[in-house]
Amino acid sequence: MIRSPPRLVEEVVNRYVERCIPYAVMFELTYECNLKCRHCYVTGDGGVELSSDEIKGILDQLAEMGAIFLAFTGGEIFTREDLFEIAWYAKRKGFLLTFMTNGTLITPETIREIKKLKPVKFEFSLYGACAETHDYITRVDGSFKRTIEAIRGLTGDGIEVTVKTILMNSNIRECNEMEAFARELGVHPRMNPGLSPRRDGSSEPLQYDLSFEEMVEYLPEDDGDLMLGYLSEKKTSERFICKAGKAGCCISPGGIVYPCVMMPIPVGDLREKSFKEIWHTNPARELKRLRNLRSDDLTTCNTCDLAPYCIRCPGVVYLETGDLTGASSSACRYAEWKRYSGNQRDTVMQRTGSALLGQAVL
Amino acid sequence: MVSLHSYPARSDDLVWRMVDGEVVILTTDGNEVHTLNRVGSEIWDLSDGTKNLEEIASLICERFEVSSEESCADALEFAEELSLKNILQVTKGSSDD
Repeated sequence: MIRSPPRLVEEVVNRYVERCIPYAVMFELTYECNLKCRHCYVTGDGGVELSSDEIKGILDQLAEMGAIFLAFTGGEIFTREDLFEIAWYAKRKGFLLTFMTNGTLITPETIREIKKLKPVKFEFSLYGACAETHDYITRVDGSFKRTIEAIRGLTGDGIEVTVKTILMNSNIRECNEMEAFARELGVHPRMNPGLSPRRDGSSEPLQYDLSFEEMVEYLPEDDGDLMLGYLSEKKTSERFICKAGKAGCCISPGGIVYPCVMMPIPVGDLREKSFKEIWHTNPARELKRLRNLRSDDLTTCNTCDLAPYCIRCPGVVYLETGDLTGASSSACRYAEWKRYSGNQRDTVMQRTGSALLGQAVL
Repeated sequence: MVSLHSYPARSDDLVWRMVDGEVVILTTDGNEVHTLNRVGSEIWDLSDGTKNLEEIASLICERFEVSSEESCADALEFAEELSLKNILQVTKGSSDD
């Protein structure tokens, strides 16, 4: 009657994907933010923010549909005065909560409330190992200090704290220091070179993107689990098609449903229709198309030599090209570096191996 | 010791969802998952702490057209297994004292 084998998580997720049940939902509670990060991809969709009661109504629907993982993101979620009212409601509805924040508005009182609430995960954005770098990127003096204070306040109480860093040309020189700093703080570091255009199509953030030369110079050859170390775990065909629009979705502050936070393809308005109607009963043409997308449709990427090294994200591809089936120039560049660094490492190992063999023979 | 007079109640320390008639249970850290088949899901749904296993077995008997012996055995097995995993809290009924 009960099944609990180790691979059951994967099996359950697959079941959600096959039946298009939203397993994980990103809920953007607000577009307001107190920082002005240079690389930020967020642009508003013009809607009026949902009220607390409207959000609770949507959470009821999501729970009814089977959603389990719920991430609150923004904008900056702590700009909403009703954040805890919403979060406690979500907790009582049985969601596993993740908070995504810059941490700068977190006070000692907030920390006490968070510890009572106990979200499963807390994710902070940190863009440098020192104030000079981080505050340059956020364009707000003192933001580094406040973020670090919040991180220190939240670690060690059974909440999984992750520090997320987008690597760009303005912070890549501190890559190693950032990892060491995160470990010193007692949090999980997660770094990636994944800049994308803004959701309105503006390519302004891409001026901060890493060049191939910067990757060669600064990225560690063996990025392990620090940066997308899952490359080898999945087949290319599985990696190139994601769960967006099937088991994952994003809801904007104004109640517009998107397949993913990185895919500005509106598929329904929760002020006009129920989630069930948008997701199941009468899905939009764009949603059906996304669900029907197969690995074979990605003709450019599937036949590419770089495919084994590639971290192609359909959302970034869409933001870069306006099409879900094309190639992403940033993913291509990263894959080129990945292949290059792998070759370099192999060469070094061959040389080292020869030297050792030479000694042994002597 | 679980008996037909025991009252099963779902533990507060987990989250669960009914997906296509089958229950998916997760620990609150999201790291452990269990699924229940349709009979197990029905027993789970009835395990609200107000009915004992005998009453639950009787309802299962009606809903799944199985014999009374079978439904009692299923209910007992279910409660024993899930209480061992701390997924279900089982309190003694008055006849157990």
